[in-house]
Amino acid sequence: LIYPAFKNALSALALAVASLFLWRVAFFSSDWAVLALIPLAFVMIVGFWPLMLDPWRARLNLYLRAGSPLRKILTGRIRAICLSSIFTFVAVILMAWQALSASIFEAAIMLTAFFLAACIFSVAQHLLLRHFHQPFARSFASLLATWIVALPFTVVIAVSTWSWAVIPGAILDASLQDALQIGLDELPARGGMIAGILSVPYGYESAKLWVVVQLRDYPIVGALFSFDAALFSFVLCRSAVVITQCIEIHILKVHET
Amino acid sequence: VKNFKKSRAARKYWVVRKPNLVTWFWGGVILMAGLSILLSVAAVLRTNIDLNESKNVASSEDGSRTEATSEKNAYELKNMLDEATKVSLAAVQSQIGPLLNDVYQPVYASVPAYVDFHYSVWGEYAELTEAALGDVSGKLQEMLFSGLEMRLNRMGTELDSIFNSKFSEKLETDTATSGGTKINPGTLTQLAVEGAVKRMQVTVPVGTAVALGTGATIKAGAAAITKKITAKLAVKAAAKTGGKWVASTTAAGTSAALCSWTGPGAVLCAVAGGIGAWIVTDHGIIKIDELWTRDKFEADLRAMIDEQKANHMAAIEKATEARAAAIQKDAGEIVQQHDFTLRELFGGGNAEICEITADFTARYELISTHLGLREPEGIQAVRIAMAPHNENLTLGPMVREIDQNLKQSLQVKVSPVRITGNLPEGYRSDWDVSGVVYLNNSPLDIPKSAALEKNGFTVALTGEITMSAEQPLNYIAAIKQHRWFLPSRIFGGVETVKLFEVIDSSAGLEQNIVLPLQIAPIWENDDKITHIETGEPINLMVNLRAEPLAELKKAPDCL
Repeated sequence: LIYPAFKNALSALALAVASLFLWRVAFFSSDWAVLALIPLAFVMIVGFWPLMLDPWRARLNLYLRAGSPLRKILTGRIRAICLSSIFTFVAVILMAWQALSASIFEAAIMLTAFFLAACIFSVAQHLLLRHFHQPFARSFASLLATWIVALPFTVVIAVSTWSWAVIPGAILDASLQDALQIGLDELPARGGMIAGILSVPYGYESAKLWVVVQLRDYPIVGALFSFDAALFSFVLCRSAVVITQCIEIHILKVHET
Repeated sequence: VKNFKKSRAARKYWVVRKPNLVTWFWGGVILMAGLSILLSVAAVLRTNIDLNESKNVASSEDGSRTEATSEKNAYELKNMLDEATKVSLAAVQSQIGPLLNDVYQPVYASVPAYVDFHYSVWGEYAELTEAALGDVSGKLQEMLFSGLEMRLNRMGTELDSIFNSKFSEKLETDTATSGGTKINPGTLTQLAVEGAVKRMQVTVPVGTAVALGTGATIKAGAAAITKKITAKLAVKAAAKTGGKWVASTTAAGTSAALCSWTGPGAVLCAVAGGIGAWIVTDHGIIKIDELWTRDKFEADLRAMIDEQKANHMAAIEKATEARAAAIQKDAGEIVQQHDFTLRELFGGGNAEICEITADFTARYELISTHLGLREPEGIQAVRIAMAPHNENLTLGPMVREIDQNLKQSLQVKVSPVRITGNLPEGYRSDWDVSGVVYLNNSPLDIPKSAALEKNGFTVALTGEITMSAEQPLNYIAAIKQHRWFLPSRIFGGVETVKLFEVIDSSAGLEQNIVLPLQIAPIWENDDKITHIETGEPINLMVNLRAEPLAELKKAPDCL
């Protein structure tokens, strides 16, 4: 039970680390670095697809009568395509942003969360299959793994953001525009579409920091900022689950009983 | 085909023919990892090239476009501090050679004079006498190395001064520009730069290292040179002595013959002749020796001085490098201080520092205004509490200032106010008394005053001594009873007190304390007054006064 889960999680982690690290290394030289994210995005979209489609179909089988012409219309494919694309797009951008800006310490926390979520998903799915049919076992396992890991790691990341995330001193006396510039200065000067996309999280983060600095008399604002930053752990854990799921089905071909 | 694709056989076919994705998966992961490694290596190489290019571009740009207020980020600040250290180190190292030449110039200039001295009869005997007395390097030190230590110390200070000014100058320039554009440095950057400059000034100064090392090095160098000279002298002396004895014995015999007409003075005349012959012979031998060996001796001497100079050069270069390394290490801490975390922003770090500051300043104020709180144990407790913050960038200056000021805290001025009491029973009468009070062996007169048989005496005293409050106060009273037509009687007593045992800790910086003492009759010629167990008790009132400590100037601003 543990060894296959460990193997699945490690494989998922290897793919994510290789893809994101290559992206991190290559991005400051060229926009072609985005190619490094394609395997990750592909695995995610392929992994997310059945998570969305299969439960929908199962429900439709219950809801619709046999022979209903609606069966041909309500296949759930468009919904699955839309949701998979949106999730993959957002998750990959957020992970790419974190890969560029995270310190080693932050990266270690995030990788631990990723690995744990992947492990727990594998174990939980195996255990839940003794009681539930697919795709419900997979859905519940996905939900369980995400919450079990993301919740405590939200606190861990929030505390680490509060205590150790280093904020440039320059932001203390910066205007909002300067603060945005400080954030955007971390991107390469060459511009381009990728930098344009990444400027959204960078700018958003800087703007939030600026607000926090302006409202420094209210510690609750700082705490909210830390928790907001920590919500990324949900995206991370969900991604871990999705990637593991894809690897289990399509790469390692774990037989479902 | 359509039917085939839907059939069970086809599904089986496609399952069987499905590509092995494991290989593709791990192949992809390994490929990405390999690419990452390659790109990392390329990035490192590229960074070095970019650094060189940016230096060239920066030097060719005209740097006066627009003015804006800007804070340096941690990365820029670290680069700035590292660059300033490098520039300062280069400036100092380029000056070591010329400055050391100046320092050693008088040494080289003294070589001919020393060689003249060495090749003279007087010089030879002086050196042999020194060798016999065991201090072979005295004359050498005096003639060659006189003032060298002082000049080297001055050079160390000058090198520090060059380092400091270059460091400050470079930081000032870099702080005021960004990518060739003039900017107004932000408050945080200015604070960080000021902190760096202050910290740099006290970080392992070269002057201190030189001052610590030069005395020993010079002595070692001089000792090495004199060792060689002494060995040479010994050989020379042994070689010459035989010849000189022959010459002087012959001369003495000849002198005796020539002086025979002087009668009883013939012996003295012969001895004088012999000594004269010894000296003349010696002079001749030295001159011959000089003719043969002077050039080589002088060259050897210069080579030995060169060697010592090279040792000094290496030591000073090492000291400058050590200083640069220490400053570079400090730069990391300064940069860390420059950026902040949310915890610090909301008072975590700041409140902590201000709390510590408030605690230390409150303790310092109490010590400053209360003599009784300056007891060594209390001072030591403050020092122990401060020790962990000694190297802290924010608290360090204040901690060091307090430590320095506390060194003055134990100075106390003691002035006797008055002495009151009566003489022992059986010795009391209406005769005047006078005497002397000794406070830690410093005598203070008791002026002649009236004493009554019944009420005794009360005599006002003047004078003052300064002492360390941690030392015990030893006080002695010697009182003389002036009797008409009869010999005076002397009464005395001695006591010791630890000041902090009698000081009232709540009384402030000035207070009067009463020191009890017992006096008993002693003989006038008794010059020793010992502790008296059963004497007549009298009281010596003294005034203790301490100065308030200097106001703290380096406490962090916590308003």
